[in-house]
Amino acid sequence: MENVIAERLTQTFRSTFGKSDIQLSRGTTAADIKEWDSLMHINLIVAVEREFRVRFTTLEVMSLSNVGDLADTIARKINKE
Amino acid sequence: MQFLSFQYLCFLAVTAIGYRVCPLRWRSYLLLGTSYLFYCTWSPRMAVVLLLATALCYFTALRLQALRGRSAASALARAGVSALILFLAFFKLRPLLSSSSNLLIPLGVSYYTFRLISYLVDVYWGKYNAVQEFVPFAAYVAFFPQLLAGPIQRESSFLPQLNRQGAESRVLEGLLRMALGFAKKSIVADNLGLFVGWSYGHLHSGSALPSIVALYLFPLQLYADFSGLTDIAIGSGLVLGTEAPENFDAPFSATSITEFWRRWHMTLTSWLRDYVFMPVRTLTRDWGKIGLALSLTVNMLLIALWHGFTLGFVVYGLFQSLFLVAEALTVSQRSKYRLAHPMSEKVANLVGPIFVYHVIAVGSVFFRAPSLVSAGQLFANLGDGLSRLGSDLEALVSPPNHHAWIALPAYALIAAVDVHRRRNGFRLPDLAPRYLRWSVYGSVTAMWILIALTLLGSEKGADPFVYAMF
Amino acid sequence: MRCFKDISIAAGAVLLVLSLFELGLRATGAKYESSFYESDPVLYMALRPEAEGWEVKEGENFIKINSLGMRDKEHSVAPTPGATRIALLGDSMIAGEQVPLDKTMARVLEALLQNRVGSATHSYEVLNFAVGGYTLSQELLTLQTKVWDFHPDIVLLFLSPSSVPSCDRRVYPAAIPFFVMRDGRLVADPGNHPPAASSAEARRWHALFGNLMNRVRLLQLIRKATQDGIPQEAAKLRGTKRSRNENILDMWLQPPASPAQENAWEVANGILGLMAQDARSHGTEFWLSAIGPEIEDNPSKLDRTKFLRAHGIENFDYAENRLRAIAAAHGIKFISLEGPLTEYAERNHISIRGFFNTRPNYGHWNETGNAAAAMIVADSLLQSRTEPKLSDPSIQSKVGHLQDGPEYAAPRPNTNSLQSVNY
Repeated sequence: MENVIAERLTQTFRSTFGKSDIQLSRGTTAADIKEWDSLMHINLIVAVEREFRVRFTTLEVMSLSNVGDLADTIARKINKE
Repeated sequence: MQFLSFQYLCFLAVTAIGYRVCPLRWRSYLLLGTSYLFYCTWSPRMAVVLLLATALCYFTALRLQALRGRSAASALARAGVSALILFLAFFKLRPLLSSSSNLLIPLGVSYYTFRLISYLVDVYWGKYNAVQEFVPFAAYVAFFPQLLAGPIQRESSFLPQLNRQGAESRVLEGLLRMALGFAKKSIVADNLGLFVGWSYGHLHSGSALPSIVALYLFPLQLYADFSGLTDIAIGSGLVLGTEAPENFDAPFSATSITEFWRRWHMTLTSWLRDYVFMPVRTLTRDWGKIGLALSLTVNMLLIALWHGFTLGFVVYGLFQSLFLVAEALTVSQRSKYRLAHPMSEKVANLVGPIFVYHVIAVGSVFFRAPSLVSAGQLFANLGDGLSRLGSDLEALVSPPNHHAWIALPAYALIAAVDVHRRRNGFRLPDLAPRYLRWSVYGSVTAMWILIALTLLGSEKGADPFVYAMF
Repeated sequence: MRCFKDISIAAGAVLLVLSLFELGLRATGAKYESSFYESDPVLYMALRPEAEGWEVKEGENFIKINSLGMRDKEHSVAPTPGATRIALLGDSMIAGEQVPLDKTMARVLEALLQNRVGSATHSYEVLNFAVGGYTLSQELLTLQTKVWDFHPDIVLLFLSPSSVPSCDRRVYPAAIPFFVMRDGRLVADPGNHPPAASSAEARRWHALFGNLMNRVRLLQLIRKATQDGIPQEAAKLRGTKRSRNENILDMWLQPPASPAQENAWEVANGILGLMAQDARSHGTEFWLSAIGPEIEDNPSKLDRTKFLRAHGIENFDYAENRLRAIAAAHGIKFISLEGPLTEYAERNHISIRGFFNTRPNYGHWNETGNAAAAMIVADSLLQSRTEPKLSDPSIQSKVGHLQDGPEYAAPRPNTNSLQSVNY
């Protein structure tokens, strides 16, 4: 992951979940973080959209399978600008 | 073919033997053939409908995969899913709208349509690739143990099992699971049904007893009925050699309504969470709390309407949504309170299930009552007092209900067995001594011979399953 | 050695399962048909003396067969001085195994007669020789070989829709005795195959096993599963439904439609004539009555009319009228039963057939049916002696409430199945 994105993403996760010890890798999924359920997932998406000032389509959100996908999608959207 | 019949036992036995002896690559053909044979015992015409829907979906998914990343994909996906939803709605609405009373909903239509929808959507979202071979896919859609009432298994968890070989035999587990389901259905659910049926037929004013009996016993009946059906479905799969997801996880031990719906009919609720709640919530994510409330309500309403398109089910859904929304909106407040007051956690664990049971019981009245009017009657009669308790109790246990009381102690026993199953499974320990193994095999064989004899000896079968109507 | 120990432990486990299943069957109230019959060289089958068990096809009832092989209280063969003895002959309708003994038509009839016209010096005794499944031939043989020993003053024979059809082997193929007309005389059918007479020893073993079966639910279950269940499954595979009732119903409603059916009527006429002759030679009154099919005493006039229209007939009376004519020809007194029964059912909006575990208006008489039949029969018997009618309301109170009982509720819809939920 691009370091800039990785850094900000980790920060976003930490503040959304309220846990300062979260570590992310490309393969991290919802199974790895206890509080990451469907409700939290949406909160996360909203927080990521606000942080990176991007907008995901529904298809993009549903297609995400791990943090790596998330980072790639963010990168793609940022680089379009 | 009903689950609780001698025919089904023979059918399952033959299929299981066939599954074991046939070469790996013919397995899906065997499952396909037997599943359609099973379906044809209900209706050959509807079996053709099932086949057509399956074929259409199969080709659409392949096309969606080819179109991945292109804008035409979303149009095709929308068309496919809408068509399936209309297909399902058509069959569920037809009996309500037509004047002839003998139009039944095709067997398993809610269940197999949901499989098709989730499959299409998964391919569209890129979660899985489209299945290349038609026969395994069609076998998955029509898989007969899960046709009557689920569990709604995803193709990604089912299809790989067809190619597995040399897995340890789970026949013993399956047979015990099926026996548990048979017991739940015939001893508990049917007998509780006698009491509940009596109560709904005696909702006269002047006595609260029918209302009390109907209110408190129906959730138990529904659970015994449905979890029994699930046990038979999962057990049948195990006898064949396939595993299925669980549908229930001690639902009445839930301490909140939200938790209840994570433990009840889990494959349906997880299906709706993945394919309805998540997309809707994603669409409404900018609307804050309103968005959340809306998503939860739509989700719950669909669960209710999946059961039937009546006002009663709508009320059922809205009633449940109230609690779900209230709990979701107060999650952080409640957890803060719990951290500040440690005792409240213990109190919540005690009082929670009681509260949940009452909410479920009240909601289930709308599920069971033949009309909103009789639902209202039931609640109104609760205030009527128990002045006629003696004569009411006498009427309650007069024939044909005179043996139905056995449901309650039987339920306690069966629940204990269920708890054991959840903790330890129905497996023999690995190094079990020979006398234990032979005792278990001998007992299980004897038990099943007796069950088969009982099925042969019962003139009428058990009451039709509740959820087989959906 | 270890192997033997393992086997015996496993066998113990199996026995445990069997015992638990037996207990479970008892606890859940599951009951199966009991064994009440034994083979008989003359009658082909008879009730086994002292047999007892549950009758569960219609209603749920514990039956005892008395020491004389009758479904009745104990009777002495020798008549009581000063008592009028009435012998009843018939099939399952009169045996009344679906209702408790004191509610059977025979017992109620005795009580009615005793209450109204009995006195300290003159009593009435009703002996019930009816056996479920008996045909007219078997009722003739019962009369000839058993009934006369009891010196009855009155013999009452109740025919049912299967009585006439059962007189011809082609119409009613079954392992029962048949008679044929030869030169105007009634003789035993040469094609009869009576069961071999069994020794007293064999009968004792049969009784022992029968009684054991009646006590152990598992044995009853095995018998039910093999006797009924397997043929039913086989029939399902063939796609056929077992029903033998077509011939029987047709012969009740319409004139004979084949030489075999015509022969059945001939033989029935011959049997009734022989019975009447027999009664005359014993100086006994002989009465005849006829019980019709279920639809005939259905309380709903609408249902009856629908049935008649569907079958293209005016009324249910063909067989009853013909039997009445036969009775008149042989000097037999005839009791019209169906007319008053139907009128009773319709007037009181009550089902005289049907139990909590059957659909209404199906099968045998329930307690109301038995009582109403007893009332009508008593009326007829006493009318011939110019006594007041028992159906007189002022006497009703003596007779007691005929309407009480579990099976008298209005037909209940199937509300215990969740299928009734409005989907």
